[in-house]
Amino acid sequence: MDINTPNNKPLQTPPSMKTGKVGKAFLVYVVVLAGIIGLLVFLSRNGQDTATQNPMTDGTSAPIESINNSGNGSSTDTSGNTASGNGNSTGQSTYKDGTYTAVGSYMSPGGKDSVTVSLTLKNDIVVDSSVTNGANDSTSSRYQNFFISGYKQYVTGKKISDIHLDVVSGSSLTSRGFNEAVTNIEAQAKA
Amino acid sequence: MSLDLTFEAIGTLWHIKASDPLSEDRQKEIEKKIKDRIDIFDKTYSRFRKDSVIWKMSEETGEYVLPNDADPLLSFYLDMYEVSGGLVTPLIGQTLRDLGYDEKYSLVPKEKITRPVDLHAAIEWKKPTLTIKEKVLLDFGAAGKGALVDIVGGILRDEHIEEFIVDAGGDILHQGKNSIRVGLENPENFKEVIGLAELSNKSIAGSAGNRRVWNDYNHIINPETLSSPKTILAVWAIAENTMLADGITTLLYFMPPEKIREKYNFEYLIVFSDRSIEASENFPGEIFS
Repeated sequence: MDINTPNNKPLQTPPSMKTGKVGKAFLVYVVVLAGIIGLLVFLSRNGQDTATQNPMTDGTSAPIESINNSGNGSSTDTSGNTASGNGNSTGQSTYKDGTYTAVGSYMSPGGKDSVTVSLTLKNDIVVDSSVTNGANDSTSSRYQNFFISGYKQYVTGKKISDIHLDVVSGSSLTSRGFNEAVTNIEAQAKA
Repeated sequence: MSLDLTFEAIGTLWHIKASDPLSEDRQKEIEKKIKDRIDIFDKTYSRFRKDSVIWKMSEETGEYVLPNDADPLLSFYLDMYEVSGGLVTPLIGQTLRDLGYDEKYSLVPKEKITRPVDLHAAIEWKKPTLTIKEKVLLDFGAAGKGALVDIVGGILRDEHIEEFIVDAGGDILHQGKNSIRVGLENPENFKEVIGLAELSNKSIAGSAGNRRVWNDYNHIINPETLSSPKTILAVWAIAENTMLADGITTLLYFMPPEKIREKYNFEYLIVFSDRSIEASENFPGEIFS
């Protein structure tokens, strides 16, 4: 997946000219930016896509979810934190001017979704942004169609670290007491 | 800032997360409510602690008044007992204890193993009173954890929290707009998942027989044969609430799913000992292949 590709597009649309929805997403997004690295955040998808210019964020920050919710107005729309929130804009630029795009999935306690984030930077200031919800809508139906009756399937394991998951369900969270007891018994058996 | 709790209780690891914004004071307040309630549950239903109500029942017959929210759990156990023809019974407590799965985790089976008696001969449930007619050690391991997850979810709802996950050792309740992806742990390799479930405003519970293993036993015992079922490696159930999902996972060890579905609504996934997988047609998820 292509991320972080400055294409040196000139500034085209100031944030104020965006529609309300996108404008709100922009505001929220800037808050997130200011809070995390002050300039850019690239979300990760399956832990594989990494931003080349910035340390990757963990993608779990709660406010990020508000991007997805920006349509209903219930999010943390902290005004006052506009583009100036990205700080050290004096002196020479840290980042190359241009438009940066990243597709990422993130998780929150409310669930998982993916977003496409586009930022335009000029002199280290975010001058434009857009946030688009990812193509997550079809997944449920895709999963629901997965089970074809009469099709016998055998266990195939995939490493937990290779898959984007919110939680794992299984038996591994056995109580400490039980595990200690088993260890003791094994030790006794060997003695 | 919102609620994000991790702690150990009732012998398992809990993760509780909410996405609604909450002040620090509110978070503390809710955390306390949850932990206090879990403590009450443990002191009522744990057969592993000698100060519990359950323990007392094993020593003294009589009438015991249980907490307000006991009714779903007790009624469900009576239902499961009927549905399974007695194979799923809370009276398995003494059997498990005799087999070594006891308060000291001695894991050494006794010479004589108690077989559960008829449930109705031993107990009678009339909300809010449980009458113990015979001294019996009850065990709520089949659905108790799920019931407690639902109780904790109820506390969050009472606090007007709209989006949350309550996860108690893999028994998970989800509420919120966005579904979550739940990995289904490979019963033979805990670093792997064999698929995933997409959970949205429902509960999932899982059970695998190969972790709590001692001698030839695991935590599921057939009261008739006094042995652990061997044909199933792991099961998952998705249902309206966590107690139901949790109980279904135990029922699935004893009965064919279609039989259980005559009584309850749920989706399931079973991994058999030959590593074949059977899932219900509308199981919301994916099996890796």
